[in-house]
Amino acid sequence: MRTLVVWCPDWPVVAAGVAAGEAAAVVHANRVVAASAAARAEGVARGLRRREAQGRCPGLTVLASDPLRAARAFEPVAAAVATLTPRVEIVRPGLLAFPTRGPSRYFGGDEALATRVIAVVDGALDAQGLASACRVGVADGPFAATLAARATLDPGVGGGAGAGGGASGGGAARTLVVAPGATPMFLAPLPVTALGSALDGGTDGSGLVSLLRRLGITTLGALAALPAADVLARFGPMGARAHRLARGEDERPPAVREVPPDLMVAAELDPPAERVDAAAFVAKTLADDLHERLTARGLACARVLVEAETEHGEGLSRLWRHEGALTSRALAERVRWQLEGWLTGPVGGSGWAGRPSGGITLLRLVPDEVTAARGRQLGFWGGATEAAERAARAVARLEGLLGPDAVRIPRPRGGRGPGEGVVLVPWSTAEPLPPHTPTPSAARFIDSPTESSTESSTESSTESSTESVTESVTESIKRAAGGVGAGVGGGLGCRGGWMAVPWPGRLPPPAPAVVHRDPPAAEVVDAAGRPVGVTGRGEVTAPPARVSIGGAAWIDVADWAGPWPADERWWDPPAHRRRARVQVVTASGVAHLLAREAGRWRVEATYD
Amino acid sequence: MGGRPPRPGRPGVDLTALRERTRPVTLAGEHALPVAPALGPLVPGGRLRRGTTVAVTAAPAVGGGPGRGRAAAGGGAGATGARGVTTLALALAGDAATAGSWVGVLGLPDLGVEAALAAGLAPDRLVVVDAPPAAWATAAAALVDALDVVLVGPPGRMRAADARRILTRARERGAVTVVVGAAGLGGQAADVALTVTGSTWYGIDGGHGHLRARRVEVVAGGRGAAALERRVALWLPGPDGQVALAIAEDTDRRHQQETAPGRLRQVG
Repeated sequence: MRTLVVWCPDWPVVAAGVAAGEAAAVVHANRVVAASAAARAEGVARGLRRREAQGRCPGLTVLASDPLRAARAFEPVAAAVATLTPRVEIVRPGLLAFPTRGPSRYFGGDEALATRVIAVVDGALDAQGLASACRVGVADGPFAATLAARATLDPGVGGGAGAGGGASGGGAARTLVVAPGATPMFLAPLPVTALGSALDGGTDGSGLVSLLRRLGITTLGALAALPAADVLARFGPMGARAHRLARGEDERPPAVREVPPDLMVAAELDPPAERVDAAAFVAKTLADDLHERLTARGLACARVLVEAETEHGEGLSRLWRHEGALTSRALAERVRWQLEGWLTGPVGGSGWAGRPSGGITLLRLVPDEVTAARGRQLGFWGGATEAAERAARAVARLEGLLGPDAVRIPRPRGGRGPGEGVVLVPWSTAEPLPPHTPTPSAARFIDSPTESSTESSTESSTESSTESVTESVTESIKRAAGGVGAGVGGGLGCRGGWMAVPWPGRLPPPAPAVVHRDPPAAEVVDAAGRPVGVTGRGEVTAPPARVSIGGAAWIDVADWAGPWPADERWWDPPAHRRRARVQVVTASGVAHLLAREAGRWRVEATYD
Repeated sequence: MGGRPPRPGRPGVDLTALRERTRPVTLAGEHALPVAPALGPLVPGGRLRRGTTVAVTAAPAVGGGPGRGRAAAGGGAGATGARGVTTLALALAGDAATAGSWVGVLGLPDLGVEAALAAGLAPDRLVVVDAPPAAWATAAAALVDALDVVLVGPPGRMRAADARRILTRARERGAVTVVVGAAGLGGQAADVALTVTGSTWYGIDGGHGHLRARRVEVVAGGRGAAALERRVALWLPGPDGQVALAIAEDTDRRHQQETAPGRLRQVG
């Protein structure tokens, strides 16, 4: 199916409102996920650690990753393109696609259509004050069209195909139109790594890509030359899909099943939802419901239409698609992004269908493209999977009862204090831990040999890039595990696969079992009754003899140790903390961790 | 027939083991979760029987002298006596969690998550819930409904009817409820009652070293099979971070030596 793809390079950076020549990078989990052109010129690449990126480009503006911001800023762009054609699919913020058959005929050819799209998108970006030069690619199928759009940025990739493969560079260098039927020739010289982002968000995809490269199949052309049946036999369905893409055919076989009409789910909102979280809560239950209906029929949804109606009768709708099948959580996330775009976007006045004038009264999810679910094999006796599903149900129930922030699960973060190494994050926002591997954050402190992340082309979706970063990092951990895991002084020795992370000066184990959320104040005096302090050189002024916690009676100190000074984040004045910690054991055998900060003692934790 | 020797020429089949594995009926006592070997003496049968309740408390400090005013200090520490109650409760759940059970925590707002993971709780099967007192009982019922082990720190005042409802649900669903702290669960008696009576820390000495090991005395009692009182001395944790029985004098001395802070010694 002939498809036009609009690609705004480095969208996460652009959406943050970075000016054209400014060096900026968006960072997620301490890794660069997107960088501006100026930053890339200085050597900042995707997958770099934040500190390393700042080292290469000292003037770098570092921005936190915010998918909602990106989705919100992209909504006017999608609305602008929707004035040309009704079937706009957002692949992710920064990338959208639509079939060109109708619009191309109406506007007088693919080139004319592309020129018009660029004009419209530039208008939408100017209205928001965002600096981005969008790229347009037209080819047979969304995969090839995306690569064509990318090729406009990197002449080395598309140049050969443009000359020899019959593709014609239409208009300015911002457009590349691959002639009908010339898509296989356009794809042939491209490296197989181009497949990476198109295959299931990089989970199995990157494994397949690296396998192909090791087998000596380095270009898409070489892959396409193999017999389809052999590829299927050797590499499974994922390989067959990669083969289809490499041959320039559609991603899926054309026989996509018709959607049975009753799969649509809708919910009326009363009172109308004007805030995103209210609507998103409903969206989550809708997504779960839709997912349940689909699984009941053995189907998976690759593209979903999100529709909303407001109390003033305005209708809003947008298509979202996903590489691979949408899980219920991924679906809920996309609906949330879309609602964010609608409800908090710029007030309608710029000509595009801007922010609706009233609250949302009706929300509808329509599965638009369903395929047979390949599914996953459950344990023979139910087993762990059944327990996990039961737990997930209980959590959903508790979230409904107590609010989404009341149910939390631990995720590693790293730090020196008693409650900083592992933090609790709300269940609904937590990213899953990779199975049977050390946690991703454990890897932040290990230099990973950057191979997979820098080679793939300039931008990929935020989520798939973080996944691939996690992947490469996980690999590097496996390699480095012997050297790093053991022998780190004061590391946290946990069972169950959580690995020690070097935080110099962190508290030695055992970890305190009670970490006070609201640390009570304490007073510490020496044998003569004078208050005990900690000097600038990190020594106590006198051995502590008695403590009083929270204004209670004085208790004798049986023994003590420390102090351990911690001067953290001194480079960042608002977050700077300077503390000294002392362990004391009282006469009744209770051990406390006291911290002195700004001349006051507090009980940070208790070794209960 | 289990005793018949295998026929010559055929690989020996242990029929007793085979019969154990294929037996269709499991007795109530076998519906149990594993606990660490060191904690075995505390619970009847050395396993946490499903559907039962374990209460973990600390005895009031004796001879603490001026220390008794401390009960008001800092929510969690004051409520549990701060002498190893939370660590013991986490240790009870540790082996079950390692074996694949889900663990829920309710009403312990000051729980040190790092300590929980060090005790063996799995990060992807640990759910920590905060509930206001009004919704506490409902949340507890929802947790025991779905999870294998639930650690609860009940609010001070609780209706006996609510507590009974939670325990009945736990018995039906086979969840082990571990009640942490002195408040108890609405006056309901626990199947196994563990009381920490003494705790001594090792590893620090007048400004040197750091906390490394703790020796606690635990008195176990309860109802039914657990009625017989047992006293156990435990390393909670030992210098290697694991829970261990502190029985023999020499291991005690060795641990104490290991935990002595690194002062200069004359070595010849």
